[in-house]
Amino acid sequence: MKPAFPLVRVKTPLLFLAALAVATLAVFALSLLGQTTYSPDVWARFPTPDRPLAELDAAAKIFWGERLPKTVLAALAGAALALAGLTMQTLFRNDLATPYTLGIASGASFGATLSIQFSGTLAAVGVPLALFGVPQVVWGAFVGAALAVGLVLALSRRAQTPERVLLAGVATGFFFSSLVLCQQYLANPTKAFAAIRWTTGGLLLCEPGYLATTAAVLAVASFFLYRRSRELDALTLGDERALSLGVDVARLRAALFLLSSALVAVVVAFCGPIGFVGLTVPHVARLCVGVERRRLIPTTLFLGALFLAGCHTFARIVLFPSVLPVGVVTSLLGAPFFLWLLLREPSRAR
Amino acid sequence: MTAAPRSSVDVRDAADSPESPKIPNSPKTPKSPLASFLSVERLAFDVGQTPILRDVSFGVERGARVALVGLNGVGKTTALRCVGRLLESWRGEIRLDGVSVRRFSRRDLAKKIAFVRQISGSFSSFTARQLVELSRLPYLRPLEPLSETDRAAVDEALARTGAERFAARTLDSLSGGERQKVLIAAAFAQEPELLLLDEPTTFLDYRSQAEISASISAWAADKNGTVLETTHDLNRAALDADRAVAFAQGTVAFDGPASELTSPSTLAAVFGVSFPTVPHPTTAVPMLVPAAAPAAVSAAVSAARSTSDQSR
Repeated sequence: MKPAFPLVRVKTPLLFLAALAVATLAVFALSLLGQTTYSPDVWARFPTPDRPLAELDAAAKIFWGERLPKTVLAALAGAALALAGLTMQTLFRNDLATPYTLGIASGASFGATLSIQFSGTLAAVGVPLALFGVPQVVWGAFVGAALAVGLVLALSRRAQTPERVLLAGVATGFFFSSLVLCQQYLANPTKAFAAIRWTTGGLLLCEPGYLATTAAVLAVASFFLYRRSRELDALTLGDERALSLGVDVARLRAALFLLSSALVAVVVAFCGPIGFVGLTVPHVARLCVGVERRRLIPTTLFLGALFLAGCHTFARIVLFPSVLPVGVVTSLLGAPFFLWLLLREPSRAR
Repeated sequence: MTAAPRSSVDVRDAADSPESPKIPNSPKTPKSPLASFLSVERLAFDVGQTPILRDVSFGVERGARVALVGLNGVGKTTALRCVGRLLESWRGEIRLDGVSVRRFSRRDLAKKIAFVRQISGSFSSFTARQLVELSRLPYLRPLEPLSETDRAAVDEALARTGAERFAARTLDSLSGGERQKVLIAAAFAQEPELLLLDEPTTFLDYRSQAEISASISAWAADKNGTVLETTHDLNRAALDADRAVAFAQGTVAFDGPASELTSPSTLAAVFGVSFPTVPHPTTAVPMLVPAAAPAAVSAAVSAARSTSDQSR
């Protein structure tokens, strides 16, 4: 489709830098909001080796130690989920394919809950709490996500139409959700409560490793996908076209499969399943810059970061003093959008 | 590479064996398959347990335009897809300039062969120009912007099919004929040596058919390009192609000048039916016309069956 907002006609590298600047500024600005809204001069009172966080004033301590890391995590997670959505839409050649609709998020949830549940047993068998610096929960979520993607992919090979792929995904999602419920039902109340809190998708915690891991996975995925943007364009036009243009379709699909699993797994592991970002953001990005991946990928990352950082801030302040899970906010906004998309154009344009 | 002769007469002389090639059970390869630009040797392909192609051999000279014809399901498209390596599990050998297509990397093969598939329903919102620009993919490194050469190839390809008029429009807003012109332009922009076309003009109006066919012939003549296309339009094939290869029962049932395709004996051998023909007003090539009444067709089918049975 023609870009709906043709004002976005700047050269791609410029667009890149501008987007990065705007996103950074937005994250810093959003972190000012909260119970007490700080003035931007806390930005100058950042912690340094000489002046550690603990010795800062209360406002700077909360801003740099609490709000900013969480908002940054929200932005990274938003970008990751949006990119995962775009990747899955390319992989399944379907606009409605997202981590959520295809049951991937549920698969990751299942893996993550399982590893929370059996952390004691795993430790007893000698499985380390973290492997390559990546916490066990993330590995659990990754395996769960990969399992779900594999299942959906295998099912979709037999059910070629987009509708049936989606149905296969929905069934996969329900299956894994039920398994998660089983675990919660069978677990002791403390663990069950933790799991429920977690599956609503919130940014309640931000451990030191979270930001680095998310950023690393996001960076690898973005770099790979952006580099291959032309091949991805060819893939959206059909396997045959991609093959006859010299694309190694099987290998590319495998890479997309891996990357989307990794992106979803990391986000689900740290933030719980957060719905609808992967659906709405790539679609809005397409409206802004059209279908060419070269523009679409950066735009998707940018909008995803802004959207989830915004939702996170909204969730923090709207019902103060209680904090709404961010997954609730994204779904409240995303569900109507999803319906609008579904009723407007069933399975057109990618 | 020396330029092959371009006139259709020369091509026919080079490609055809003199004797009547209508006996299905003597699938000898053409005189010198290695001398052909494209040589298909004892090609066989199964779908599950069902053999689609049993033993197909033919050669195509550089610069020739060859039509693949036959009944529905006889394996024309399958053969095309084998040549383009869109299918991999075939047996036999397919050579390009004497080199097996299996020995090319996908990317190198994409510089040699372009494939245009049958018109399909689903189309995305890429613009026509974006689609044609994508054809430069095999020539570009990742993230490398289009060079002047690439842009020139794209512009030329769009101009060849007359698609530049709607180059800025999205594919899903184009008519079937316009869309096909864009797809053919995309194949031209790929700058292949061999163009594989799967029913390029089926479902199109007469004018679009004629325009597209003319643009293909013009491209082949200008670039010394080779064209292998499947079609059901025997009249078009007889007029536009240099040679025709007809499949029946998984083998080559006819391989000869396209103008002989519409002769009653060929029709009987390939399709099991003979249709009335009239000579074309300018070229005198026999043109098929529809039989006047359904009864005549069934009579023709049974007549052709009995003659072909006798000939075995």
